[in-house]
Amino acid sequence: MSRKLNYLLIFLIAYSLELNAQDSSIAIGIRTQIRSKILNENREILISLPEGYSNNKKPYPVIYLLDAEEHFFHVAGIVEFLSSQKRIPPMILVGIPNTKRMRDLTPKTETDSLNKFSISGGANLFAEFLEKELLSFIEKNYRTCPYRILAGHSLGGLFAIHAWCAHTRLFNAYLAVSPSLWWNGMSMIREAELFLENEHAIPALYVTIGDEREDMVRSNKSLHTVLQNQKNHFAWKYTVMANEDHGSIVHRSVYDGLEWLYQGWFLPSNYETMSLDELQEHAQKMTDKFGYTIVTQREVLSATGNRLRVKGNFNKAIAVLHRNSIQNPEWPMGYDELGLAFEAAGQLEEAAAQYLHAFKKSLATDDPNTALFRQHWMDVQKRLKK
Amino acid sequence: MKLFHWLNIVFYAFAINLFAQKSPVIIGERTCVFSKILNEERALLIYLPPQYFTTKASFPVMYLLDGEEHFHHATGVIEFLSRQNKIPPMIVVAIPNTQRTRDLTPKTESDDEVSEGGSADRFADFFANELIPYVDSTYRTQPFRLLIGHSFGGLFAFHTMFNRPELFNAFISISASLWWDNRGEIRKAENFFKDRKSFLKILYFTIGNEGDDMVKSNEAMSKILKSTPKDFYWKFTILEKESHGSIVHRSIYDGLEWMYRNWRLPENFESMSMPDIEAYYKKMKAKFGYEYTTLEAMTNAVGYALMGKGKIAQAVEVLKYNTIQFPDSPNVYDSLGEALEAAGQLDQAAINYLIAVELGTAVNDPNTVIFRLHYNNVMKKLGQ
Repeated sequence: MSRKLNYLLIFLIAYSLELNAQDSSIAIGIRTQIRSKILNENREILISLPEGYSNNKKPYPVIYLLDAEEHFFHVAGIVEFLSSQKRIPPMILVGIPNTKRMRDLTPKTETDSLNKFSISGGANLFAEFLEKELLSFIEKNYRTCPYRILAGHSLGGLFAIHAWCAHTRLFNAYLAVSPSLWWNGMSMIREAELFLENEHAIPALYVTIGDEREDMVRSNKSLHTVLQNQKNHFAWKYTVMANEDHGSIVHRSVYDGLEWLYQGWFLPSNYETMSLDELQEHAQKMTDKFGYTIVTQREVLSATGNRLRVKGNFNKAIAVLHRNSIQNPEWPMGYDELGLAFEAAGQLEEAAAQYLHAFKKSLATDDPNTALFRQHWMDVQKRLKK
Repeated sequence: MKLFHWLNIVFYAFAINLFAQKSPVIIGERTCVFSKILNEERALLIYLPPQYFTTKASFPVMYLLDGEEHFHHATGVIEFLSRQNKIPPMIVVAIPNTQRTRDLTPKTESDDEVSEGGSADRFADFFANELIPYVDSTYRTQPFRLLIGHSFGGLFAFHTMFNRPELFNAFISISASLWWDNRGEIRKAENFFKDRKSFLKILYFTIGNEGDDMVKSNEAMSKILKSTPKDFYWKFTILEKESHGSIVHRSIYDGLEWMYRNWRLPENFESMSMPDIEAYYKKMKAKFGYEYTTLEAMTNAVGYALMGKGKIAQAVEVLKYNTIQFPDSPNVYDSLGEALEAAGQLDQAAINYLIAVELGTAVNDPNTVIFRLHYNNVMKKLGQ
């Protein structure tokens, strides 16, 4: 429709002028483009990095989000909020806006053939694009953990279920919001059944359905029955949200889905009273659950170690803070905190060595606490001379 | 013109980038005002809804305390819920802290509370005399203001509701620190509602699984509110699974949904008759206390839905009503033009397109191009 084109142009011009005029903008991510040979088109990609990404060297899990033109903003808000509350780890969010939504998100059926006139059935090609082009682009350009989540709604949910069955290893967890399982005479239900019979290492699956069209509800109920009747041990949850419709269900589903996926991740708020063993046990549990090495966060070890020091448990404090300096060798403050624990324990030479280490590291990393570390070192030198 | 389509297109435009390899995804802007009352510069984070750029409409304003922490996820909620037509699009003004305790806590009689507290009334003055006038003169605002605060911010919301009720129409108070000053706000509430016949405000407040003092003081508040005027809409919710921190997002989402629970037109809205629509307007006006111009979009949608179902005569009637309700909006005439054109009343259609063009030109509406195109097309059809 020529009308659409007009709107687009007007808006783009207006908006680009605006973009250039503002340096006080609040941005939640960047948009960039990659060339897909597989899809033979350019694809827009929206990327939101967690706070502090550029100030450390840590890798992050990645959420891949379909229909990103609609959902990037509010889903980025969820990720930001839940990670600030330590309910989930900080994550990279990668949004994939559509070009030809129907083509990319629907699995092949017997009646459609993917030629240049066809509008559906290209899910396998889209999965190939994800695997060979997008995921590799992201993993080459950003620091990622080997943990990927796919979130899709409606036809995007259909794609998520399809990918779960047919491209199982692409993602570690799948969030399917109101998936369009009515597609192709509900053929996805049978596919899921076969998948669950033949495959035993099954990624996590979270499915929600609202108060919706009859065939939507019926097909999702069938999937629920399949999930209930299968014998594998894997994490899945099926939730009916009776107060939501097909559109309004998205936000709560992503929020609840991430909370569900990361249950057990949150340390009790009194974590600083935990011992190093307890903290490491928690980290091990998370490692087992998510399948890659997860270490206790720097802030947690730091708070726990400092508290032990203040309480006079010097040996335990040294153990925790030593662990922290090993896990975070580039962090000057870690050595300083360990120095404080040594000094409190009366081990002045060890303390001096840690302070000096903190001081040197801070010079190398432009840390703002250089003067503090230097002062600690000089003070302990004085004590040593007495 | 069909506004719902418009919106989709705007979102595409957000995503499409022809100008640079990488560009930022922008959700708002940072600005600041100098406050004489507080004698300091205050940063502000501003979110304007997409419709702010595509229409000339005015919008309700959400004032959000602890702005730095909550701006992104709260604006995400606004953006999502308004796109679902669950709430109107809103402007968000988020206020980051300078001295949080000073600004958000009411004065106490004893000075043994947190020492730097007690200036909530001055902070309310800042809203009344500086911030709200600044926002109202800078942006197209509706006279409907919502205050959202958490913890001390929640305390400030209650305090302001009782002490300066004229400032805000609605409040979401999350895990409010009502223990402050030996439950000073609860004592105030009792006196405040004594002999009060009417209190046209909306209040949603929540408490999580928290300290005893927190939970009990909020429960005490809800008990007092039980004997308040009937026109005071309020709801208290205990969110068992949330902590003092994690409660914020769900409280904002649920609070907005509850406040606006009758906002969305019924699913079968396209079968609504004119009296239904008029009754709906009346109800919303009574609840929120002012005329909602964002309802223009809804009536517009009803008109297009009727057209889509081939009920052209009804569509004309509904869209004509919109031109009476919102005579200054160029788009309502363009929409009516389309319905009239579909009805074969080409002369009438041309007149309405022309009004749209004229009004659009006067206010620099970017859609004027479209209105002109419609006008030209119908003139061609008329053979002139």
